[in-house]
Amino acid sequence: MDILRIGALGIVAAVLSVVIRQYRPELSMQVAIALGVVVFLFLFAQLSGISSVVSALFRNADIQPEYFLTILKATGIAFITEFAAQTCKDAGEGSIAQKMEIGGKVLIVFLALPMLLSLLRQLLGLMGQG
Amino acid sequence: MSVDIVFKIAAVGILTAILHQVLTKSGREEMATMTTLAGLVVVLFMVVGLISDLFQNVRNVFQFQ
Repeated sequence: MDILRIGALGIVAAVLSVVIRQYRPELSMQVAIALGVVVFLFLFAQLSGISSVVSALFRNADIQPEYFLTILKATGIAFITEFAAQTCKDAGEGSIAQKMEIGGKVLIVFLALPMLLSLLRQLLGLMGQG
Repeated sequence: MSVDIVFKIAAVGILTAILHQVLTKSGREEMATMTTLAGLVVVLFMVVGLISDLFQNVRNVFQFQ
């Protein structure tokens, strides 16, 4: 079963990372990064299945497809930001992690701006009629 | 892309640590430092390859981020 493999791999990588940290702390961070990448690469195969199911749902509900695309991209940005920020925090670089988080927030706001504008326009149109 | 790259990186890390200790104890400090730096560079190359693979996949799954 898949979760067993992921769990076992994570535990083994944590043990190795702790062992290496005693001697070469800069290399133990790389072990953690490598493990994160391998696990996510494995999970992406499942994730694209989920993504296609949700996209079909959106299509059946007659919502404009670019809204789903925006949501998908925002999820991707959040995912990468979380990965980078947590890696920096684990390495002890809290300030660099915070810069990652600020970058992610700004980019998501920038991404969602067209949707926000169209929502505001519709609201104003409604208020104008009422 | 499979599991053993994690173990390879860990093995290089442990090997670097052992070599560093051996070289320091036998008095060759500068060789020990250079060995550590070489190990770091090797691991960095492996990890950068992995990360580029990951980001390529993210770009595909989340559709041209």
